Amino acid sequence: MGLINFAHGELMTIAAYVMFGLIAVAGLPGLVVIPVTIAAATIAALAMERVAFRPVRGASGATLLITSFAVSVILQNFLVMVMGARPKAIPMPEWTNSVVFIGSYTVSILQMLTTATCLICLAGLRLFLTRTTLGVGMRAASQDFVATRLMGIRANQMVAGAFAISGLLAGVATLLYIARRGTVDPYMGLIPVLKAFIATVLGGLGSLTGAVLGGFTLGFVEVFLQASLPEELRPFRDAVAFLLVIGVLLLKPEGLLGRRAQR
Amino acid sequence: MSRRGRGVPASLDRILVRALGPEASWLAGGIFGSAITLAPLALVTVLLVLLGDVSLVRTATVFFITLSVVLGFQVFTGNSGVFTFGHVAFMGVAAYVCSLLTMAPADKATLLPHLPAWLTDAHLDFWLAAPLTLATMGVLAVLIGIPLVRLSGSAAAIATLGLLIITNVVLAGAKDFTNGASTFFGVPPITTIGLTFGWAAVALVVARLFRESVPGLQLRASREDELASRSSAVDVTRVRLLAWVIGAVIASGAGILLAHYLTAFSPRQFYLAETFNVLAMLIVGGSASVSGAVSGALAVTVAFEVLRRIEDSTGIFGLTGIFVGVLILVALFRRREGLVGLLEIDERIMGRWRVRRPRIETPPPA
Repeated sequence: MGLINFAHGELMTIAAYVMFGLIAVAGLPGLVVIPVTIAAATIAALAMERVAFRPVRGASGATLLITSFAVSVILQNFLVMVMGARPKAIPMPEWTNSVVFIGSYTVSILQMLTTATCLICLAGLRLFLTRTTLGVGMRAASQDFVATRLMGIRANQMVAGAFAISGLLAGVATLLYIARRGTVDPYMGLIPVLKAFIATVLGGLGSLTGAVLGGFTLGFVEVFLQASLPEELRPFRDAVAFLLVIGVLLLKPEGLLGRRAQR
Repeated sequence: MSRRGRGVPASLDRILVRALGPEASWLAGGIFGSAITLAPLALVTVLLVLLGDVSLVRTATVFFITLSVVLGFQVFTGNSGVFTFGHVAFMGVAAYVCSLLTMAPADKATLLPHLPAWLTDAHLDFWLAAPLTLATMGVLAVLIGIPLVRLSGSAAAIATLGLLIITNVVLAGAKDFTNGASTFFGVPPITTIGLTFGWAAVALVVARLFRESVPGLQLRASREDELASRSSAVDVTRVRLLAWVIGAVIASGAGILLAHYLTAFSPRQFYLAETFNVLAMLIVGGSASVSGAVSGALAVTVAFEVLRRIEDSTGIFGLTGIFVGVLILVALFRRREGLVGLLEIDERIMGRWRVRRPRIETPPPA
């Protein structure tokens, strides 16, 4: 679709506030929280598509980016208005903090769960995009919208489907993110969304494997810099990561694994 | 095709060209056009100063600074069609650099004890420090621009966003020079409404002249159809770089004026919020024209002030942000070219004035 959704971070923030409502306010158990959070994020994504992105469908990439920027700012300010700007704590069950000893390494259960979830989501997404009508239709719509409609595929459903999936994944990501973070505030979406951009652009916008590769590269670079940079240069870690992105964009504007866009 | 500055009467234009060459036509047209946009602004400024309402004068001062930044953005984004998120970064760096040159050494020693000696001792007059800073920013803009102007569309958007974020990280991290993320204070208050109006006026004239100059026209051609313009021997990279640097210098000037107005600031002032506001103004007013940039800045600032007073009286915070966001969305949904559209206001007025009904001569029946 060619849309870079800056407001994706806000999907996570909304899901996080839903978690806050369910856990801290209503005290509901995990079995309820997980599906409701994911559902909330999905619904928010669908609403976003219907209200904000459908009127600008087909516009240039930069216009879409700015639209998403605007949506993001609106949602952030709305949340500040309704929930207040102060962070709110979300109590997490004990096991999210526990660790396991493998050999001489200490591994956090949460990190293992996150990795496993990511792999499952990746496999699921891949299956979905290659085996189901909706998935294949989505890929077709992103290549050639008009031809897809000529094939009898409901184009609006494709776009809505794409947003729904992004919402779903945002919900899953929020669950794992909050499990580590423990608090929610209106601006928390910015950092994940920036990292997601860096990772996706690095890996190539059209490619799933690219996104994973980008994510790993970014993570590796960040940890490497954290470990190896001298004390005074540590705060510049993010700057270096972004410099890397710009470098890749200059050499290969379509990303490491992306396909060259048809001119 | 004649490059006659539109708006200048044909007879006057002929005289100018005969006397001074075709460039006179360009200059005359540009200045005439800018004057039409500047006149109401000048009038309002004079009225405000005479009125003496301090808070209104303050609002106007900040408005002209913001207008300058919007114009800087317009020079690049409006003419090239490539969105930049990065020019506010130049604003920020210029603010810090010029402040470091104009601050009293005693203040610098207390605020930034680890500053290198030559910088602490430097105490230049504002009218020496400002041009020096602008020149430095120009060089910096060239260096940074050379790789970045090759990119288009989303790649450029992300790369310039990266520039903004990297600059923010650097400003916040270089504690010895900038006091990090904490407030940087002690800057001598030099900015007046006259100064900011002056810089905005300069920016306006420059933006207007650039728009109608040869590189400006080439750049606008590349905005409409990059491939066609390249085949017409337009060096897209070169004209984009020119616009990039001009925009960066204009933004830097605005940054310097803001620094010497606020006298205390932090890197947060030159980050996403400011960028978003500037982009909102540009999009709402119309990025393709200078009068668009001005109208957008006016519209959003007025709306902002009204909303801020509502926010203060009702205590509901966040209204202004929501409004600015909704404004951008409405502008993008309904009128993508903005309030003013593709033509300058004076071009539209003069054009309409000039159109004459074509006379079709029918031959007498045989």
